Amino acid sequence: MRTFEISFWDRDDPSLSAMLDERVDMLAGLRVPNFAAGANLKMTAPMDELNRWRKNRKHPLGITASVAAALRWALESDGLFASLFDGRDNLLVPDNPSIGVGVDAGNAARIMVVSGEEYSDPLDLADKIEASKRDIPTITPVPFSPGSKEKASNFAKRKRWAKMVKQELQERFDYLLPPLQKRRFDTWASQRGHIQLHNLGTHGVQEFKGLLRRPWVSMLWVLEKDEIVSPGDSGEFVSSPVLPLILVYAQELIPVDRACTFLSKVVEALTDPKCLEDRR
Amino acid sequence: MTPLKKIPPSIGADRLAGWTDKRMLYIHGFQHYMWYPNCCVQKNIELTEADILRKEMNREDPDPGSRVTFNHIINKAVANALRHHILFNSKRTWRDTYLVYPHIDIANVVDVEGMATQIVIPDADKLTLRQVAQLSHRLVSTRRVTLRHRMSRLDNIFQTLPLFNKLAWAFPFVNRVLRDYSHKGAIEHLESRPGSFLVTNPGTLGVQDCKAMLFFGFRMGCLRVMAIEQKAQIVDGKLGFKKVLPTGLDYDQRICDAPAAARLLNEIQRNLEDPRRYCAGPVDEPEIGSDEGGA
Amino acid sequence: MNFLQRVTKNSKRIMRMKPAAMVPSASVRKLLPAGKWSEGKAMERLARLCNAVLDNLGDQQVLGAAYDGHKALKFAKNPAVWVGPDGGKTWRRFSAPLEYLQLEAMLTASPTGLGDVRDQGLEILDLSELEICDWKGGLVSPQVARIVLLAPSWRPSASGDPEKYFGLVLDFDQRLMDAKTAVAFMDVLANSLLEETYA
Repeated sequence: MRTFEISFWDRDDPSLSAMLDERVDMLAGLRVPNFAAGANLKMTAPMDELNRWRKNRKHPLGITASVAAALRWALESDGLFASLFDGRDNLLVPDNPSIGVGVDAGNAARIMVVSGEEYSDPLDLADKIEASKRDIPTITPVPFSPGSKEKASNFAKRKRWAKMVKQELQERFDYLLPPLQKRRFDTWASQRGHIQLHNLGTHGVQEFKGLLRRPWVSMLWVLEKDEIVSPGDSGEFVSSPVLPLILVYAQELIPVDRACTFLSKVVEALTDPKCLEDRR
Repeated sequence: MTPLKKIPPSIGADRLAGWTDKRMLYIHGFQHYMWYPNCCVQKNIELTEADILRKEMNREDPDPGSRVTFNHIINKAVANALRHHILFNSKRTWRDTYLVYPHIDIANVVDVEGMATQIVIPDADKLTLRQVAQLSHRLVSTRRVTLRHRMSRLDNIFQTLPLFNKLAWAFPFVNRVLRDYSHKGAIEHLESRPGSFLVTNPGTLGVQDCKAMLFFGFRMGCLRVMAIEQKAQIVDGKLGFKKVLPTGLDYDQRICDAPAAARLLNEIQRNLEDPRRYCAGPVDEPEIGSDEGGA
Repeated sequence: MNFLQRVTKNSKRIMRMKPAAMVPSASVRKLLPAGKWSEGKAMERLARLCNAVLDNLGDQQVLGAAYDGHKALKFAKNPAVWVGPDGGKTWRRFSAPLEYLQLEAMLTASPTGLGDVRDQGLEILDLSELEICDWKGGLVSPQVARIVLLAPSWRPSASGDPEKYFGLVLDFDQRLMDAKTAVAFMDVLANSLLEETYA
């Protein structure tokens, strides 16, 4: 007789299901109909001037906060990138877009939303992000080791099953009624912002490829600082620090050149951060 | 940089008919539930230590059947890192269920006669580096024989039964029915160990970067190794170059976010940059959760 | 042309953007050494690239193919390419090798800058002037492939001296090709650009 070595965890495992439950909304949003054909554009911004500027300020800024300010500044010239789909294929462009900043919290990233209504000035927004960065409670990751393999009780299993079914039915039902669908999509903006900014530089990530889903139209990712060697003015090769940025945008909606213009606007603000102050 | 080679185009007009026939199996085999939200994080890893270890081991045992290559060190490093991130050693099934495998089986994509295929190194975390090398050499040469046989059989079918490719759409369904309703099919499906994590090396083709849906949602992660790159840097005012290996981790966004994936990638990097400490020797048996002895 | 006009123009493409039309696309990037082909204006460079692609499409007909209806492939007798300079602001179709002056004339012919409505055929997108150093794009049926030229960077050549390299990306349908086939096409393309002279 053959022996079987099939033992595995499924979502009824208590520790795994706790993690998955946290992501239930995420899972629902990541179904195929919600995917957008997201294209990724990468550009680098020189950091010399940026470093000098952000450290010499009265309240020094971190990289994330500086990029958030530049992003807010670029959104003033093109608000399309912060628009949201309302769930019925209509595109809504907000006057004062909120920016969601991704914060690492164990297994799932938490989004800190800075309201665009309250902080409409890029520098105010940056100061707010810098100030509240440390207030986000970090959650210790769920420990996964072979030792945590335990069986869930039948009651817990049934309870979880009922919860999942309820959520799934609710979602299907919402889709039929425009007001409910609209309400559901409205919550996205307050929970995750009109446009999201994530900084992966703290994890040492040097290249990234992201995806996009409705209702968002674009996302900005910041990677680890890089050194670029290029010929200088006198013909000598010089090394200069650059900040790689990746813009993920809805390719079916936004033309490539418009995305390039937007990303170069962010890069422009980071190259010469004085322009953020000049506008005051 | 590698000099450019003249490679003859692989799909000429004369071979086009046969090519699309075979590819129709893939086109129909791709179902929409296989879409998954994939993201990838990537890092440049230094290979100096791994190179020294590889040369040393090959000097000890120059037998071509047990030669250690970078691929083997990478496989071993991934297997070791997965022991601490077992969430990535899992599989997604229907109804948002995830199965975490009890074994770490590393699948490798190898190119055999123009056709991509996979070999599986079972329990790679419990093997020594030398054993991994020997096993994968043996598996590749075996696969070369069996795949040639299978491909020639498929060619024969296409030639003798011209209607065969018209029925290509039915194959995925037939497979599922066989698995669900035939006892033998079910046992074979349960018994098969298809590899819990995928390692692929498009760098051998000189690819600088590759972004693709590499595992169609059935695995949680995949490591991509690209061509070794020379990174320019200025040391003491002089231009110099350092060799780095761009390594990307593709992951399923449904189960985790970028930071968790970056942590696994960081651990793989740690293993690869100090291979003598982490990869060379055998790994102790885990204390809990040993699955042996079941009957 | 304002955004509304563009969206209206692309409405067919947006409507086609259903899950069933999304193609599982992969991108591979390779380095393309600068040389004689890259001298001169950006338009000149693009014209040489297009000519090289058209020259080699005969051997790689899969790249010039398009999906016809549900999962059936259609091959064009005279493969054509769609060219988008300036980051795809305008798109033009052409199926015979052209000189760059002709190409430039074609691209600036339309006073509205609307260009043609993209349909079947291989897309060639030029992002080199926009300083974009990486790209990954999705494909929507009936597209099968797309070629993107990226901004140049400095890297060591075989002799050890620093040399300028452009990035070349090929987005392709994963069901139709393996990475190896795609890379083979890029190598052929690079060789013909470096070895042969295009007007």
